[in-house]
Amino acid sequence: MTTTECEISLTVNGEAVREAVPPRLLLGDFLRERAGIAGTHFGCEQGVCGTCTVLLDGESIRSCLLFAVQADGCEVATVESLASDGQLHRLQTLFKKHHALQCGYCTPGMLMTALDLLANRPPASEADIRDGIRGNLCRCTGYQNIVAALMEAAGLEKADGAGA
Amino acid sequence: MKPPPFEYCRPDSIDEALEALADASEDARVLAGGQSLVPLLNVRQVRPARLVDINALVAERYLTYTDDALAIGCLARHVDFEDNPEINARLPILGEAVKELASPAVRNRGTFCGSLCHNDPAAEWPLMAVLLDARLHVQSASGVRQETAGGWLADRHSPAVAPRELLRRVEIGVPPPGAGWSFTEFNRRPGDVAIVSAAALLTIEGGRVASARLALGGVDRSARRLHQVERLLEGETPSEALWSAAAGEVPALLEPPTDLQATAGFRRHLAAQLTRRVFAEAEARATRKGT
Ligand SMILES: Cc1cc2nc3c(=O)[nH]c(=O)nc-3n(C[C@H](O)[C@H](O)[C@H](O)COP(=O)(O)OP(=O)(O)OC[C@H]3O[C@@H](n4cnc5c(N)ncnc54)[C@H](O)[C@@H]3O)c2cc1C
Ligand code: FES
Ligand code: FES
Repeated sequence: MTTTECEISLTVNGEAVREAVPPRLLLGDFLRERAGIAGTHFGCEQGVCGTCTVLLDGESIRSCLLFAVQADGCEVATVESLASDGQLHRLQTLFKKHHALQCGYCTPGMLMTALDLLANRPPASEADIRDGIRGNLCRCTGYQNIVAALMEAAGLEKADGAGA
Repeated sequence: MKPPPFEYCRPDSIDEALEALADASEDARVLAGGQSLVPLLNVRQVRPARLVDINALVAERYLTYTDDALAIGCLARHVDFEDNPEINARLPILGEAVKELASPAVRNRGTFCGSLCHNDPAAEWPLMAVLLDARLHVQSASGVRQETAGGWLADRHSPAVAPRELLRRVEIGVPPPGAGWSFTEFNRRPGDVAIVSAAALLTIEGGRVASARLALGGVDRSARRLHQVERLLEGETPSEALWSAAAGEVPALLEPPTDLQATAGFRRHLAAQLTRRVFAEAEARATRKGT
Protein backbone atom coordinates (compact mmCIF):
# COMPACT_ATOMS: atom_id res chain seq x y z
CA MET A 1 0.00 0.00 0.00
CA THR A 2 1.71 3.12 -1.13
CA THR A 3 1.61 6.58 -2.64
CA THR A 4 5.07 5.96 -4.00
CA GLU A 5 5.82 4.19 -7.22
CA CYS A 6 4.34 0.77 -8.02
CA GLU A 7 6.03 -1.66 -10.35
CA ILE A 8 3.66 -2.71 -13.14
CA SER A 9 4.03 -5.02 -16.09
CA LEU A 10 1.58 -5.07 -18.94
CA THR A 11 1.40 -5.66 -22.66
CA VAL A 12 1.01 -2.64 -24.90
CA ASN A 13 0.23 -3.45 -28.53
CA GLY A 14 1.76 -6.88 -28.08
CA GLU A 15 4.96 -5.69 -26.42
CA ALA A 16 5.79 -6.33 -22.79
CA VAL A 17 6.30 -3.14 -20.79
CA ARG A 18 7.65 -2.89 -17.24
CA GLU A 19 7.63 0.44 -15.43
CA ALA A 20 7.45 1.96 -11.99
CA VAL A 21 4.54 4.41 -11.87
CA PRO A 22 2.91 6.62 -9.24
CA PRO A 23 -0.64 5.36 -8.50
CA ARG A 24 -2.21 8.61 -9.67
CA LEU A 25 -0.80 8.33 -13.21
CA LEU A 26 -3.68 7.85 -15.66
CA LEU A 27 -3.33 5.08 -18.25
CA GLY A 28 -3.58 7.60 -21.10
CA ASP A 29 -0.73 9.67 -19.65
CA PHE A 30 1.26 6.49 -19.10
CA LEU A 31 0.86 5.56 -22.77
CA ARG A 32 1.76 9.01 -24.06
CA GLU A 33 4.52 9.96 -21.67
CA ARG A 34 6.05 6.72 -20.43
CA ALA A 35 5.45 4.26 -23.26
CA GLY A 36 6.09 7.00 -25.81
CA ILE A 37 3.10 6.22 -28.05
CA ALA A 38 1.06 9.35 -28.53
CA GLY A 39 -1.80 8.16 -30.77
CA THR A 40 -4.17 8.09 -27.82
CA HIS A 41 -5.49 11.62 -27.25
CA PHE A 42 -6.90 13.35 -24.21
CA GLY A 43 -9.78 15.79 -24.63
CA CYS A 44 -11.93 16.21 -21.55
CA GLU A 45 -10.41 13.87 -18.93
CA GLN A 46 -14.01 13.39 -17.73
CA GLY A 47 -15.03 10.31 -19.69
CA VAL A 48 -17.28 12.40 -21.94
CA CYS A 49 -15.50 12.90 -25.28
CA GLY A 50 -14.18 9.39 -25.97
CA THR A 51 -10.98 10.37 -27.79
CA CYS A 52 -8.86 8.56 -25.16
CA THR A 53 -10.62 5.22 -25.76
CA VAL A 54 -8.31 2.17 -25.88
CA LEU A 55 -8.90 -1.57 -25.54
CA LEU A 56 -8.17 -3.24 -22.21
CA ASP A 57 -8.19 -7.01 -22.62
CA GLY A 58 -10.27 -6.51 -25.76
CA GLU A 59 -12.91 -4.16 -24.31
CA SER A 60 -13.12 -0.44 -24.95
CA ILE A 61 -12.42 1.74 -21.92
CA ARG A 62 -11.62 5.38 -21.19
CA SER A 63 -7.89 5.73 -20.59
CA CYS A 64 -8.57 8.99 -18.72
CA LEU A 65 -10.64 7.10 -16.11
CA LEU A 66 -8.27 4.22 -15.39
CA PHE A 67 -5.01 4.44 -13.49
CA ALA A 68 -1.98 2.80 -15.10
CA VAL A 69 -1.55 0.63 -11.96
CA GLN A 70 -4.96 -0.87 -12.68
CA ALA A 71 -3.72 -2.14 -16.05
CA ASP A 72 -1.05 -4.23 -14.33
CA GLY A 73 -1.13 -7.70 -15.92
CA CYS A 74 -3.48 -6.60 -18.72
CA GLU A 75 -3.26 -6.26 -22.48
CA VAL A 76 -3.69 -2.73 -23.77
CA ALA A 77 -4.28 -1.98 -27.44
CA THR A 78 -4.10 1.54 -28.87
CA VAL A 79 -4.66 2.93 -32.35
CA GLU A 80 -1.01 2.13 -33.12
CA SER A 81 -1.91 -1.58 -33.05
CA LEU A 82 -4.10 -1.28 -36.15
CA ALA A 83 -1.72 -0.82 -39.06
CA SER A 84 0.91 -3.48 -39.61
CA ASP A 85 3.85 -3.65 -42.00
CA GLY A 86 2.93 -0.25 -43.40
CA GLN A 87 -0.55 -1.53 -44.32
CA LEU A 88 -3.58 0.28 -42.93
CA HIS A 89 -6.15 -1.77 -41.06
CA ARG A 90 -9.43 -2.30 -42.96
CA LEU A 91 -11.21 0.16 -40.66
CA GLN A 92 -8.57 2.81 -41.36
CA THR A 93 -8.89 2.22 -45.11
CA LEU A 94 -12.66 2.65 -44.85
CA PHE A 95 -12.26 5.86 -42.81
CA LYS A 96 -10.01 7.16 -45.58
CA LYS A 97 -12.36 6.07 -48.34
CA HIS A 98 -15.41 7.71 -46.72
CA HIS A 99 -13.61 10.87 -45.55
CA ALA A 100 -14.50 9.91 -41.99
CA LEU A 101 -11.91 12.25 -40.49
CA GLN A 102 -10.94 15.88 -40.87
CA CYS A 103 -8.70 17.15 -38.08
CA GLY A 104 -8.31 13.57 -36.80
CA TYR A 105 -8.40 14.41 -33.11
CA CYS A 106 -11.35 12.10 -32.38
CA THR A 107 -10.18 9.38 -34.77
CA PRO A 108 -8.08 7.16 -32.44
CA GLY A 109 -11.00 6.90 -30.03
CA MET A 110 -13.51 6.37 -32.84
CA LEU A 111 -11.43 3.52 -34.29
CA MET A 112 -10.94 1.75 -30.95
CA THR A 113 -14.64 2.18 -30.09
CA ALA A 114 -15.55 0.80 -33.52
CA LEU A 115 -13.31 -2.25 -33.00
CA ASP A 116 -15.12 -3.06 -29.75
CA LEU A 117 -18.49 -2.43 -31.41
CA LEU A 118 -17.82 -4.72 -34.38
CA ALA A 119 -16.30 -7.47 -32.21
CA ASN A 120 -18.50 -7.42 -29.11
CA ARG A 121 -21.78 -5.70 -30.01
CA PRO A 122 -22.27 -6.49 -33.72
CA PRO A 123 -24.49 -3.73 -35.14
CA ALA A 124 -27.53 -4.79 -37.17
CA SER A 125 -28.54 -1.33 -38.35
CA GLU A 126 -27.45 2.27 -38.75
CA ALA A 127 -29.23 3.00 -35.46
CA ASP A 128 -27.01 0.43 -33.70
CA ILE A 129 -23.91 2.09 -35.15
CA ARG A 130 -24.98 5.56 -34.05
CA ASP A 131 -25.80 4.14 -30.63
CA GLY A 132 -22.40 2.42 -30.45
CA ILE A 133 -20.45 5.64 -31.05
CA ARG A 134 -22.69 7.90 -28.98
CA GLY A 135 -19.95 8.30 -26.39
CA ASN A 136 -17.45 9.68 -28.93
CA LEU A 137 -17.58 13.33 -29.90
CA CYS A 138 -16.43 14.60 -33.30
CA ARG A 139 -16.39 18.35 -33.83
CA CYS A 140 -15.57 18.21 -37.54
CA THR A 141 -17.37 15.60 -39.60
CA GLY A 142 -20.96 15.78 -38.43
CA TYR A 143 -20.65 11.98 -37.98
CA GLN A 144 -22.23 11.19 -41.35
CA ASN A 145 -19.06 9.89 -42.97
CA ILE A 146 -17.97 8.02 -39.85
CA VAL A 147 -21.31 6.22 -39.87
CA ALA A 148 -20.89 5.49 -43.60
CA ALA A 149 -17.46 3.96 -42.98
CA LEU A 150 -18.77 1.82 -40.15
CA MET A 151 -21.81 0.75 -42.20
CA GLU A 152 -19.48 -0.65 -44.83
CA ALA A 153 -17.22 -2.20 -42.17
CA ALA A 154 -20.25 -3.97 -40.67
CA GLY A 155 -21.49 -5.06 -44.10
CA LEU A 156 -24.68 -3.01 -43.80
CA GLU A 157 -26.50 -1.11 -46.53
CA LYS A 158 -28.07 2.27 -45.94
CA ALA A 159 -31.85 1.83 -45.65
CA ASP A 160 -32.67 4.71 -48.03
CA GLY A 161 -30.07 3.56 -50.53
CA ALA A 162 -28.26 6.90 -50.33
CA GLY A 163 -24.96 5.33 -49.30
CA ALA A 164 -21.88 7.49 -49.22
CA MET B 1 -5.18 19.27 -13.84
CA LYS B 2 -4.28 15.75 -12.70
CA PRO B 3 -5.50 13.64 -9.75
CA PRO B 4 -4.02 14.41 -6.34
CA PRO B 5 -1.69 11.79 -4.81
CA PHE B 6 -3.30 8.94 -2.91
CA GLU B 7 -2.35 5.64 -1.35
CA TYR B 8 -3.36 2.75 -3.59
CA CYS B 9 -4.17 -0.82 -2.67
CA ARG B 10 -5.75 -3.67 -4.58
CA PRO B 11 -6.88 -6.31 -2.09
CA ASP B 12 -7.42 -9.93 -3.15
CA SER B 13 -10.19 -10.67 -0.67
CA ILE B 14 -13.19 -8.95 0.89
CA ASP B 15 -11.58 -9.17 4.33
CA GLU B 16 -8.45 -7.42 3.13
CA ALA B 17 -10.60 -4.75 1.46
CA LEU B 18 -12.55 -4.11 4.67
CA GLU B 19 -9.32 -3.95 6.64
CA ALA B 20 -7.82 -1.47 4.20
CA LEU B 21 -10.94 0.69 4.54
CA ALA B 22 -10.92 0.40 8.34
CA ASP B 23 -7.27 1.11 9.07
CA ALA B 24 -6.79 4.13 6.81
CA SER B 25 -5.68 7.15 8.83
CA GLU B 26 -7.98 9.47 6.89
CA ASP B 27 -10.65 9.32 4.20
CA ALA B 28 -10.50 5.98 2.35
CA ARG B 29 -12.68 5.25 -0.65
CA VAL B 30 -13.63 2.23 -2.67
CA LEU B 31 -12.54 2.39 -6.31
CA ALA B 32 -15.02 0.30 -8.33
CA GLY B 33 -15.60 1.17 -12.00
CA GLY B 34 -14.07 4.62 -11.45
CA GLN B 35 -16.53 6.13 -13.92
CA SER B 36 -17.81 8.67 -11.38
CA LEU B 37 -14.93 8.79 -8.91
CA VAL B 38 -12.06 9.37 -11.37
CA PRO B 39 -13.74 12.36 -13.10
CA LEU B 40 -13.96 13.94 -9.61
CA LEU B 41 -10.32 13.06 -8.87
CA ASN B 42 -9.24 14.49 -12.23
CA VAL B 43 -10.51 17.93 -11.16
CA ARG B 44 -9.46 17.41 -7.53
CA GLN B 45 -13.01 17.82 -6.31
CA VAL B 46 -12.29 14.95 -3.92
CA ARG B 47 -8.95 14.14 -2.25
CA PRO B 48 -9.20 10.75 -0.57
CA ALA B 49 -6.08 9.65 1.30
CA ARG B 50 -6.45 6.05 0.17
CA LEU B 51 -8.16 4.23 -2.69
CA VAL B 52 -9.15 0.62 -2.17
CA ASP B 53 -9.44 -0.87 -5.66
CA ILE B 54 -11.95 -3.76 -5.60
CA ASN B 55 -11.42 -4.81 -9.22
CA ALA B 56 -9.36 -7.87 -8.26
CA LEU B 57 -12.35 -9.34 -6.36
CA VAL B 58 -13.56 -11.16 -9.46
CA ALA B 59 -15.80 -13.51 -7.45
CA GLU B 60 -17.96 -10.45 -6.67
CA ARG B 61 -18.85 -10.01 -10.33
CA TYR B 62 -22.13 -11.92 -10.52
CA LEU B 63 -25.86 -11.71 -11.21
CA THR B 64 -27.55 -14.69 -9.53
CA TYR B 65 -31.20 -15.55 -9.08
CA THR B 66 -33.15 -17.02 -6.22
CA ASP B 67 -36.90 -17.76 -6.50
CA ASP B 68 -37.99 -14.18 -6.13
CA ALA B 69 -34.87 -12.05 -6.24
CA LEU B 70 -31.84 -11.11 -8.28
CA ALA B 71 -28.57 -10.74 -6.34
CA ILE B 72 -26.06 -8.28 -7.77
CA GLY B 73 -22.42 -8.49 -6.63
CA CYS B 74 -20.37 -5.35 -6.07
CA LEU B 75 -18.30 -5.97 -9.18
CA ALA B 76 -21.25 -6.57 -11.55
CA ARG B 77 -20.76 -4.04 -14.31
CA HIS B 78 -23.36 -2.15 -16.36
CA VAL B 79 -22.39 -4.22 -19.43
CA ASP B 80 -23.48 -7.42 -17.64
CA PHE B 81 -27.11 -6.22 -17.89
CA GLU B 82 -26.85 -5.50 -21.62
CA ASP B 83 -28.51 -7.96 -24.05
CA ASN B 84 -28.68 -10.46 -21.20
CA PRO B 85 -31.39 -13.07 -22.01
CA GLU B 86 -31.99 -13.94 -18.37
CA ILE B 87 -32.38 -10.30 -17.36
CA ASN B 88 -34.67 -9.70 -20.33
CA ALA B 89 -36.83 -12.66 -19.26
CA ARG B 90 -37.07 -11.94 -15.53
CA LEU B 91 -36.39 -8.23 -15.10
CA PRO B 92 -36.76 -6.71 -18.57
CA ILE B 93 -37.03 -3.24 -17.04
CA LEU B 94 -33.32 -3.46 -16.12
CA GLY B 95 -32.47 -4.40 -19.72
CA GLU B 96 -34.37 -1.31 -20.90
CA ALA B 97 -32.75 0.98 -18.35
CA VAL B 98 -29.17 0.00 -19.19
CA LYS B 99 -29.71 1.07 -22.80
CA GLU B 100 -30.05 4.65 -21.57
CA LEU B 101 -26.97 4.45 -19.38
CA ALA B 102 -23.89 6.30 -20.69
CA SER B 103 -21.95 4.73 -23.58
CA PRO B 104 -20.34 1.33 -24.23
CA ALA B 105 -16.87 2.16 -22.85
CA VAL B 106 -18.37 3.55 -19.62
CA ARG B 107 -20.63 0.48 -19.32
CA ASN B 108 -17.62 -1.82 -19.69
CA ARG B 109 -16.23 -0.50 -16.37
CA GLY B 110 -18.98 1.11 -14.26
CA THR B 111 -20.73 -1.02 -11.63
CA PHE B 112 -24.33 -1.24 -10.43
CA CYS B 113 -23.30 -0.89 -6.78
CA GLY B 114 -20.99 2.04 -7.57
CA SER B 115 -23.92 3.84 -9.13
CA LEU B 116 -25.98 3.36 -5.95
CA CYS B 117 -23.08 4.72 -3.88
CA HIS B 118 -22.55 7.71 -6.16
CA ASN B 119 -26.31 8.29 -6.08
CA ASP B 120 -26.80 10.77 -8.87
CA PRO B 121 -30.43 11.96 -8.49
CA ALA B 122 -31.29 11.06 -12.10
CA ALA B 123 -29.20 7.87 -12.52
CA GLU B 124 -30.94 4.74 -13.80
CA TRP B 125 -29.85 2.18 -11.17
CA PRO B 126 -30.95 4.13 -8.08
CA LEU B 127 -34.35 4.62 -9.79
CA MET B 128 -34.61 0.86 -10.35
CA ALA B 129 -33.48 0.16 -6.79
CA VAL B 130 -36.26 2.26 -5.24
CA LEU B 131 -38.89 0.99 -7.69
CA LEU B 132 -38.03 -2.67 -7.02
CA ASP B 133 -37.54 -2.33 -3.23
CA ALA B 134 -33.88 -3.34 -3.35
CA ARG B 135 -32.16 -4.62 -0.22
CA LEU B 136 -28.59 -3.49 0.28
CA HIS B 137 -25.98 -5.57 2.11
CA VAL B 138 -23.43 -3.22 3.55
CA GLN B 139 -20.26 -4.61 5.09
CA SER B 140 -17.48 -3.11 7.18
CA ALA B 141 -14.76 -4.44 9.46
CA SER B 142 -17.24 -4.15 12.34
CA GLY B 143 -20.03 -6.17 10.75
CA VAL B 144 -22.81 -6.48 8.19
CA ARG B 145 -26.04 -4.57 8.01
CA GLN B 146 -28.99 -4.38 5.67
CA GLU B 147 -30.59 -1.27 4.29
CA THR B 148 -33.54 -0.61 2.04
CA ALA B 149 -32.85 1.32 -1.15
CA GLY B 150 -35.30 4.04 -0.12
CA GLY B 151 -33.57 4.58 3.23
CA TRP B 152 -30.01 4.39 1.89
CA LEU B 153 -30.54 6.75 -1.04
CA ALA B 154 -32.69 9.33 0.69
CA ASP B 155 -30.13 9.66 3.47
CA ARG B 156 -27.24 10.44 1.26
CA HIS B 157 -26.15 13.27 -0.93
CA SER B 158 -24.12 12.65 -4.03
CA PRO B 159 -21.51 11.18 -3.78
CA ALA B 160 -23.11 8.81 -1.31
CA VAL B 161 -20.38 6.82 0.33
CA ALA B 162 -20.64 5.47 3.78
CA PRO B 163 -17.11 6.01 5.10
CA ARG B 164 -15.17 2.76 5.55
CA GLU B 165 -18.10 0.64 4.35
CA LEU B 166 -18.45 -1.59 1.31
CA LEU B 167 -21.76 -2.06 -0.47
CA ARG B 168 -21.15 -5.73 -1.10
CA ARG B 169 -24.38 -6.95 -2.66
CA VAL B 170 -27.82 -5.72 -3.68
CA GLU B 171 -30.93 -7.88 -3.93
CA ILE B 172 -33.75 -6.85 -6.15
CA GLY B 173 -37.21 -8.39 -5.89
CA VAL B 174 -38.47 -9.88 -9.15
CA PRO B 175 -41.96 -8.44 -9.78
CA PRO B 176 -44.85 -10.95 -9.66
CA PRO B 177 -45.62 -12.69 -12.96
CA GLY B 178 -48.01 -10.63 -15.05
CA ALA B 179 -46.95 -7.29 -13.55
CA GLY B 180 -46.80 -4.54 -16.16
CA TRP B 181 -43.72 -2.33 -16.15
CA SER B 182 -42.41 0.77 -17.83
CA PHE B 183 -39.32 2.96 -17.74
CA THR B 184 -38.68 6.18 -19.59
CA GLU B 185 -36.48 9.22 -19.31
CA PHE B 186 -36.13 12.64 -20.86
CA ASN B 187 -32.69 13.90 -21.80
CA ARG B 188 -31.14 16.15 -24.44
CA ARG B 189 -28.85 13.54 -26.02
CA PRO B 190 -28.90 9.73 -25.74
CA GLY B 191 -26.51 8.62 -23.00
CA ASP B 192 -26.70 11.85 -21.04
CA VAL B 193 -27.85 11.63 -17.47
CA ALA B 194 -31.63 12.17 -17.53
CA ILE B 195 -33.27 15.48 -16.70
CA VAL B 196 -36.28 13.58 -15.34
CA SER B 197 -36.83 9.81 -15.36
CA ALA B 198 -39.83 7.69 -14.38
CA ALA B 199 -40.61 4.02 -13.82
CA ALA B 200 -43.79 2.17 -12.88
CA LEU B 201 -45.02 -1.31 -11.95
CA LEU B 202 -48.67 -2.29 -12.12
CA THR B 203 -50.68 -5.40 -11.30
CA ILE B 204 -54.30 -5.65 -12.38
CA GLU B 205 -56.82 -8.08 -10.86
CA GLY B 206 -60.57 -8.30 -11.43
CA GLY B 207 -60.37 -5.29 -13.71
CA ARG B 208 -58.87 -3.09 -10.99
CA VAL B 209 -55.43 -1.90 -10.00
CA ALA B 210 -54.22 -4.40 -7.37
CA SER B 211 -50.91 -2.67 -6.79
CA ALA B 212 -49.08 0.28 -8.29
CA ARG B 213 -45.56 1.61 -7.87
CA LEU B 214 -44.17 4.88 -9.18
CA ALA B 215 -40.55 6.05 -8.95
CA LEU B 216 -39.17 9.36 -10.26
CA GLY B 217 -35.60 10.54 -10.77
CA GLY B 218 -34.19 14.03 -11.28
CA VAL B 219 -36.84 15.67 -9.12
CA ASP B 220 -35.20 15.52 -5.70
CA ARG B 221 -31.82 14.87 -4.03
CA SER B 222 -32.16 11.22 -5.01
CA ALA B 223 -34.55 8.92 -6.86
CA ARG B 224 -37.76 8.43 -4.88
CA ARG B 225 -41.10 6.64 -4.77
CA LEU B 226 -44.40 8.50 -4.79
CA HIS B 227 -46.41 6.47 -2.31
CA GLN B 228 -49.24 9.01 -2.20
CA VAL B 229 -49.90 8.54 -5.90
CA GLU B 230 -49.57 4.76 -5.60
CA ARG B 231 -52.22 4.60 -2.87
CA LEU B 232 -54.56 6.74 -4.90
CA LEU B 233 -54.56 4.21 -7.74
CA GLU B 234 -55.15 1.00 -5.79
CA GLY B 235 -58.65 -0.41 -6.34
CA GLU B 236 -59.38 1.94 -9.25
CA THR B 237 -60.27 0.93 -12.79
CA PRO B 238 -57.33 1.42 -15.15
CA SER B 239 -57.97 4.03 -17.83
CA GLU B 240 -56.30 6.94 -19.59
CA ALA B 241 -58.33 9.24 -17.35
CA LEU B 242 -56.95 7.54 -14.23
CA TRP B 243 -53.35 7.94 -15.38
CA SER B 244 -53.98 11.60 -16.19
CA ALA B 245 -55.47 12.11 -12.75
CA ALA B 246 -52.42 10.44 -11.17
CA ALA B 247 -50.12 12.64 -13.25
CA GLY B 248 -52.06 15.69 -12.10
CA GLU B 249 -51.19 14.91 -8.47
CA VAL B 250 -47.45 14.68 -9.11
CA PRO B 251 -46.25 18.31 -9.51
CA ALA B 252 -47.53 19.46 -6.11
CA LEU B 253 -45.67 16.61 -4.39
CA LEU B 254 -42.27 17.64 -5.76
CA GLU B 255 -39.74 20.33 -4.97
CA PRO B 256 -37.30 19.81 -7.81
CA PRO B 257 -34.12 21.85 -8.26
CA THR B 258 -33.55 24.53 -10.88
CA ASP B 259 -30.18 24.18 -12.60
CA LEU B 260 -28.48 24.66 -15.96
CA GLN B 261 -30.40 21.70 -17.41
CA ALA B 262 -33.93 22.68 -16.48
CA THR B 263 -36.06 24.87 -14.25
CA ALA B 264 -38.09 23.44 -11.38
CA GLY B 265 -41.26 24.19 -13.34
CA PHE B 266 -40.06 22.27 -16.40
CA ARG B 267 -39.09 19.33 -14.19
CA ARG B 268 -42.56 19.29 -12.61
CA HIS B 269 -44.12 19.34 -16.07
CA LEU B 270 -41.88 16.48 -17.25
CA ALA B 271 -42.58 14.46 -14.11
CA ALA B 272 -46.34 14.66 -14.75
CA GLN B 273 -46.04 13.78 -18.44
CA LEU B 274 -43.71 10.86 -17.81
CA THR B 275 -45.95 9.58 -15.00
CA ARG B 276 -48.91 9.39 -17.36
CA ARG B 277 -46.80 7.64 -19.97
CA VAL B 278 -45.25 5.01 -17.70
CA PHE B 279 -48.62 4.01 -16.23
CA ALA B 280 -50.22 3.75 -19.68
CA GLU B 281 -47.36 1.59 -20.93
CA ALA B 282 -47.33 -0.55 -17.77
CA GLU B 283 -51.08 -1.10 -18.18
CA ALA B 284 -50.56 -2.26 -21.77
CA ARG B 285 -47.94 -4.77 -20.58
CA ALA B 286 -49.86 -6.06 -17.55
CA THR B 287 -51.64 -9.40 -17.71
CA ARG B 288 -55.19 -8.97 -16.49
CA LYS B 289 -56.13 -11.53 -13.88
CA GLY B 290 -59.59 -12.58 -12.74
CA THR B 291 -61.43 -10.72 -15.48
C1 LIG C 1 -19.41 10.14 -19.69
C2 LIG C 1 -20.19 9.49 -18.60
C3 LIG C 1 -21.56 9.38 -18.75
C4 LIG C 1 -22.32 8.77 -17.74
N1 LIG C 1 -23.67 8.66 -17.92
C5 LIG C 1 -24.42 8.05 -16.98
C6 LIG C 1 -25.82 7.85 -17.15
O1 LIG C 1 -26.42 8.21 -18.19
N2 LIG C 1 -26.51 7.25 -16.15
C7 LIG C 1 -25.89 6.81 -15.01
O2 LIG C 1 -26.56 6.26 -14.15
N3 LIG C 1 -24.57 6.96 -14.82
C8 LIG C 1 -23.81 7.57 -15.77
N4 LIG C 1 -22.45 7.70 -15.56
C9 LIG C 1 -21.87 7.25 -14.28
C10 LIG C 1 -21.56 5.73 -14.31
O3 LIG C 1 -22.76 4.99 -14.36
C11 LIG C 1 -20.76 5.24 -13.09
O4 LIG C 1 -20.30 3.96 -13.45
C12 LIG C 1 -21.49 5.11 -11.76
O5 LIG C 1 -22.14 6.30 -11.42
C13 LIG C 1 -20.52 4.80 -10.62
O6 LIG C 1 -20.13 3.46 -10.64
P1 LIG C 1 -18.59 3.07 -10.62
O7 LIG C 1 -18.54 1.60 -10.44
O8 LIG C 1 -17.94 3.62 -11.82
O9 LIG C 1 -18.12 3.75 -9.27
P2 LIG C 1 -16.83 4.59 -8.88
O10 LIG C 1 -16.65 5.74 -9.78
O11 LIG C 1 -15.68 3.66 -8.71
O12 LIG C 1 -17.28 5.10 -7.44
C14 LIG C 1 -18.30 6.06 -7.26
C15 LIG C 1 -18.44 6.35 -5.76
O13 LIG C 1 -19.01 5.25 -5.06
C16 LIG C 1 -18.08 4.67 -4.14
N5 LIG C 1 -18.22 3.22 -4.29
C17 LIG C 1 -18.23 2.54 -5.48
N6 LIG C 1 -18.50 1.23 -5.27
C18 LIG C 1 -18.67 1.09 -3.92
C19 LIG C 1 -19.00 -0.02 -3.09
N7 LIG C 1 -19.23 -1.25 -3.60
N8 LIG C 1 -19.10 0.19 -1.75
C20 LIG C 1 -18.88 1.44 -1.22
N9 LIG C 1 -18.59 2.52 -1.97
C21 LIG C 1 -18.48 2.35 -3.30
C22 LIG C 1 -16.73 5.23 -4.52
O14 LIG C 1 -15.89 5.32 -3.39
C23 LIG C 1 -17.11 6.60 -5.08
O15 LIG C 1 -17.30 7.53 -4.06
C24 LIG C 1 -21.68 8.29 -16.56
C25 LIG C 1 -20.30 8.38 -16.43
C26 LIG C 1 -19.54 8.98 -17.44
C27 LIG C 1 -18.06 9.08 -17.27
S1 FES D 1 -10.30 12.39 -22.47
FE1 FES D 1 -11.12 10.52 -21.83
S2 FES D 1 -13.17 10.70 -22.47
FE2 FES D 1 -12.38 12.66 -22.95
S1 FES E 1 -12.26 14.74 -37.19
FE1 FES E 1 -11.94 16.52 -35.99
S2 FES E 1 -12.93 15.97 -34.14
FE2 FES E 1 -13.48 14.35 -35.42
